[in-house]
Amino acid sequence: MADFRTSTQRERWIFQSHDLMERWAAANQRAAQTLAQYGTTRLNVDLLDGSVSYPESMPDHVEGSSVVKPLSYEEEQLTRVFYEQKIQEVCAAFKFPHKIQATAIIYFKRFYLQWSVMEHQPKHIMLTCVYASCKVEENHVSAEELGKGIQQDHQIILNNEMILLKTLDFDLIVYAPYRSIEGFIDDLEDFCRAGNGPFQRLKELRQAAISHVDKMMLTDAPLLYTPGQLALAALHKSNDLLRVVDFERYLEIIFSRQHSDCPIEQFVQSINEINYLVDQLNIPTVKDMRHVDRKLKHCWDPSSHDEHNKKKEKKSKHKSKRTSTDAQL
Amino acid sequence: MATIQNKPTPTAPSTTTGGGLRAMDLYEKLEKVGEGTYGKVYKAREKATGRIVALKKTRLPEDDEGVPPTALREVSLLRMLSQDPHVVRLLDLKQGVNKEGQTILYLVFEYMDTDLKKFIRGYRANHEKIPAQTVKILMYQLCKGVGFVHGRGVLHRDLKPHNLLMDRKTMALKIADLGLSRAITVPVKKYTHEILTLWYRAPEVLLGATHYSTPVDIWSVGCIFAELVTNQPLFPGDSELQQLLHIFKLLGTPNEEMWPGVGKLPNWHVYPQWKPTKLSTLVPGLDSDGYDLLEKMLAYEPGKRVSAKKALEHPYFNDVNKEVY
Repeated sequence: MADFRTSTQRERWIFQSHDLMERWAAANQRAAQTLAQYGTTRLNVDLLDGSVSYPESMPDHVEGSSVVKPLSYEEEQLTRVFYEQKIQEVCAAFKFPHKIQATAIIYFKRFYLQWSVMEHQPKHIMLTCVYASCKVEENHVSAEELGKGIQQDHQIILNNEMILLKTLDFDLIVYAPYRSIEGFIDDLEDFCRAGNGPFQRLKELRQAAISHVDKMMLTDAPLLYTPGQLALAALHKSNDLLRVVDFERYLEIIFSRQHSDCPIEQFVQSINEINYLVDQLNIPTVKDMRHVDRKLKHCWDPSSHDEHNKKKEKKSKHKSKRTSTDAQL
Repeated sequence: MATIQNKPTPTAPSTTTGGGLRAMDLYEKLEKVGEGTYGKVYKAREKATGRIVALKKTRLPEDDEGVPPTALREVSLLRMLSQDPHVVRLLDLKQGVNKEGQTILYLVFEYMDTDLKKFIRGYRANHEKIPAQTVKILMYQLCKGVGFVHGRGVLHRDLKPHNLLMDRKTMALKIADLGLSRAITVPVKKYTHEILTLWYRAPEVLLGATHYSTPVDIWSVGCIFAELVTNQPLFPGDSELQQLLHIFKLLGTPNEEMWPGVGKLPNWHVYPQWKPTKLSTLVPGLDSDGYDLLEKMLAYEPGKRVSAKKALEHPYFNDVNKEVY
């Protein structure tokens, strides 16, 4: 069986939370500086080899004078979660297995650990992540089919493939909690048959845990914890609601069996931290995203900012005219 | 790969103020050295350092689907496996354009001066046998490499002399061409059985098994072992059926007693009943330990086949200097 312990995921892509914050902050600051310097954050990607160059300065741009505001650290965070959820929606629409969805989300998370959403459009990167995930997981769907399914030009998907692969350092084999859940459910069946609970209800527990992992995938947890920890946290939380087995006893058995370096208390703490991340999860709605989307659009194309302001002015003029007429009546 | 740190850096990857250098500005092709799963392989010189490398070139298909999945799989698996001395090292990956304007992907590998196919061919042409100790050293390295790959949860699925690179001077052997490999997942997927060069293909794959695992590679290792000893392929079939008949003729037709469940495999029919030939007749020139190991590698029942890890502990390898290899 493929082993997480010897994987590039464990070696290179599991972080401490302060690492994540540092990386996101660095990417955010870099994009803000690019905006100040060039008047746009849109980077030029060489479609051939994925190399990236800074943008040409926008015409009439005076360095440091940009009226366009960069996205804040928090707005970037919101954007990432929004598009990660979109990945889940796209995968569900195509009836892809959970593994593809999880791999795509992890690619997306890793990509935006190194780039700001202001530098590469998340809507495009999201699709390329799904596409690459399908290839790696041997569930191949053509770029055209994927693009068509969500009314997007499939060329966008292909244009971003090389930059995605390079940013991921070609570490494309991903371990997801879904598979670990299957393993634990098999194990729990033996546990139940030994008189520790009704094994008929394990199907229910499995379903609830999978739904819980779907939420987990939208948090930072997959970059902080191992798939096994995530799976156990999901089962623990689901069992709290369904009361299928004595989960504390099950954990004790696991730990006595594994002679683990990590004491059970520490592990329970990890489970609590993971579930706290899920509880704190704030999934933005389309409405929440309108303002952020507008800002993002302006960062990419500052001329759209001027147009937006003109429209705004027009609207307010129209409004003030109407108000004066109203006053006369 | 050349530019890889232990963890990705917080700064943007390779942001420049101009376009990146093209692959062919970085390397000078010296000669074509072979064909891989999906393209030509060249010996080349890295212009900046003078280092000799192997460039595995793949033309991106006209189907407008970007990087081929086989290339992606090979690269991602090599990222995981390249730290082992018995797996060829992937140094970099470049993309470029050829004279016709087609997009080309280059996998840059460490250069090895020959492969096991050429090595065996050289001895065969001179009507010489490969020295017994050389066979042993090569087999030890092969088992070590396969053991490492399997230990990382990967099936190679296309082990053959052509995919085993060698250094003539040091006798170092490295596994290459992971284009058909895959990470083993649980539950085990139904794998395609349109894989592997016929001569080294395990009987369970030929019989249409869709759930198979690491023993398919061990069968290939056994076939390679026999070929190293005799300079001839053990089972040179030219179709799936001929390949099966070849195996049955030499090792005896399997039955439920020696291989439980064989009759339930999709491609099982009523085959002629052959008796097994002694391995010492088929592969003359081995000692008793060698025959014992070969027999364990060519066991019909996949579950009974020796693992690569266990093979390394076999008495056949007792006199190998394990410090060196």
